[in-house]
Amino acid sequence: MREIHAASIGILKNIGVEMRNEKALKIMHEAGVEVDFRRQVARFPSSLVEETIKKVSGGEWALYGREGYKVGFTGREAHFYTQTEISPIAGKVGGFTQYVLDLNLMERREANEKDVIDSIRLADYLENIKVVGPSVSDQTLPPKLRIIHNAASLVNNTAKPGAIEVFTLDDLECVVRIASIAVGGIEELKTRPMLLTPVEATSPLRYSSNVLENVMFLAKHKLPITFYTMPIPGVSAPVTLAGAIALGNAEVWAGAVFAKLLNSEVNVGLGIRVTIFDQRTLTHSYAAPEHQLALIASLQLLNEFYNVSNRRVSGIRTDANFPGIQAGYEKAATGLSVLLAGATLVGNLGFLRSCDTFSCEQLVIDNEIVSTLNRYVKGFEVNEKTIAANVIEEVGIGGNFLLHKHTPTHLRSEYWFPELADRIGWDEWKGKGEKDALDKAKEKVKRILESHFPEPLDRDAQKEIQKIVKEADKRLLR
Amino acid sequence: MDKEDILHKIVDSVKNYGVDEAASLAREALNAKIDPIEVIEKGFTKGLREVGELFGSGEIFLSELIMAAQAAKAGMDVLKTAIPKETQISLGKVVIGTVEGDIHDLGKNIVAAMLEANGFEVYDLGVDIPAERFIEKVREVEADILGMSALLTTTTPCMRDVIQALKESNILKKVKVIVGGAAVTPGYAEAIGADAYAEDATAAVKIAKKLVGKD
Repeated sequence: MREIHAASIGILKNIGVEMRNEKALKIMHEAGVEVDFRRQVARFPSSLVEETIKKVSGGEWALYGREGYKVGFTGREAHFYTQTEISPIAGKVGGFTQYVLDLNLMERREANEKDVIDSIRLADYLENIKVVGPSVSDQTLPPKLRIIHNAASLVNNTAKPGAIEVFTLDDLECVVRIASIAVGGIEELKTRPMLLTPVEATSPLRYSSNVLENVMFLAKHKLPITFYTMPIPGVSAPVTLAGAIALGNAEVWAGAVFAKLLNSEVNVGLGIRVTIFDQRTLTHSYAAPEHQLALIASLQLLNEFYNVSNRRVSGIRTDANFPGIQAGYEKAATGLSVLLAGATLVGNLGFLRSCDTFSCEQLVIDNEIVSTLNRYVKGFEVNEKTIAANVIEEVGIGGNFLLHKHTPTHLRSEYWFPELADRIGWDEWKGKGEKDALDKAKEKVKRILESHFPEPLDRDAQKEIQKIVKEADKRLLR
Repeated sequence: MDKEDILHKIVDSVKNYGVDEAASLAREALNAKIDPIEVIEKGFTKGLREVGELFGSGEIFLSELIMAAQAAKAGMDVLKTAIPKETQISLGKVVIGTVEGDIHDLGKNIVAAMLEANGFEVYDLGVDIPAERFIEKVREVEADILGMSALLTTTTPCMRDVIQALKESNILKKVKVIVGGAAVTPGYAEAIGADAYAEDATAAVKIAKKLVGKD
């Protein structure tokens, strides 16, 4: 880890990062960063980087939903999220996760507004999802409008804090205004931030102008900023994993340095996702073992070496196109490894292959996978009550613990029980209709969508938000 | 070495990614007075074809395909000095870039590499390219094809401007335009008058070959 850290410091000092925004470069220049204005490259002195690491390290912060719902980033527990993906890897048209796997129709179809709202309602219901982003976007809308419409649907259909990725400053301003209305004002939003809007570097070693504008906006309003990067070994980063991580690490810290220069009080989160590109088939693999290795290493770095409390990773993934066996084992394996490596914000639940397809059933299954993983990571307590020496004595040699009160008293807190997975024998299973987890997931999705309707915002708030959406529609389509 | 030997060794140099070897063998071929066009067709292009087949069957990697193309290019650059300028040795000339306001270039880089490995002469302008630069380069190199890429939906209008300008010029209206990137759809490509939409690198190569009539 020390070697990688040293390499990143070297990259930042000697090669630098392209920051394609004049205003941002001026600010950095004034703070002692070596700036080449012609090439738009900033080279960071190691002392400044080390200072920033100290400022970010150990910082704890939280996101807040409605009615006191709090998601704390202490660095010691993991929270799971849903969110559309708009990276180049997701790659489809206008991005923002285009498709829904509709098991009723047995087809993959384009998502619409109902799908957006259903995906939010489901995530709102599922107990293990702590940060809710819309999982798809309405494909009937022109791409430019999707973010803002998604933001409006989001705040009205969940009481949990939200996650939404934005491109332009215009998007960000609208989204922040919408979030402010939902929580009761911009000041409220600042003290109890409700929204995560991750910003992305463009490997190798670049930040685009719109991303920097967004960083400046968020820092000005003291809203949290999570810097994220997805270097691709062999294409936008060295093909060897250590080099890809060193590069990605340099990129996110460059972002953090800039953020802290803008506003030393702004809360920062980091994420490095080395993304594997198969050079034979020219496709991305999310379940490739190297992907997991690199994620684990990056998380260890952020956790053990830098002690950053918000360690974000889109880490529960599958390459499968269908919520079947491959999806199951890949999700469980990828999820466990990133949790054990120390991720504190993990997503994106509910996705299939390449995150351009969302499945409600997969979301419900992921929720259960995550709950079993949580149990692994929780461990167990060793103390007088759990060693239960007195109970062992009382029950005695050859005795029956079922009869001792200690058993029912501690059973529910010590054990996890599945809802979708089976633990019944063959005959009973056949008798109950031979259902598998997917069948049960389908039933659960139906139940939730038929009965769970989160409390909408009050009439006035909804009207104000609709106004913003309509204005944006007009403005962006001009 | 006789002609057959040299040609064999040239094919090998491409398959072994030997840039220096390819260049020195090309010089040897010229010294031996072998017809340079024959050296290209039976040596370098043959080597590239075989490498292309290995790639198509998943046996070699994209970065290896690129190295093979670099070796072939090194050899062909030497041979170019002995060929009259007007003779076409590549499948066609392609200018490619990411549009103004956008710096995403992953896909574009892969497309450029694949086109080159498949025998096109590629001029990659890079990222954040304004309309005028595209047009200027197309004019300068007498390109057959222009490829434009965009990830951000806010930057796609630049493509429309370029296509418009090309169509208005007598010289440039026969340039074929391929567009791609996450911000582009087949519908949008049609609406702005592009000749084709390429979903990925493999499609781009197929389309490019078709557009120059070499499929």
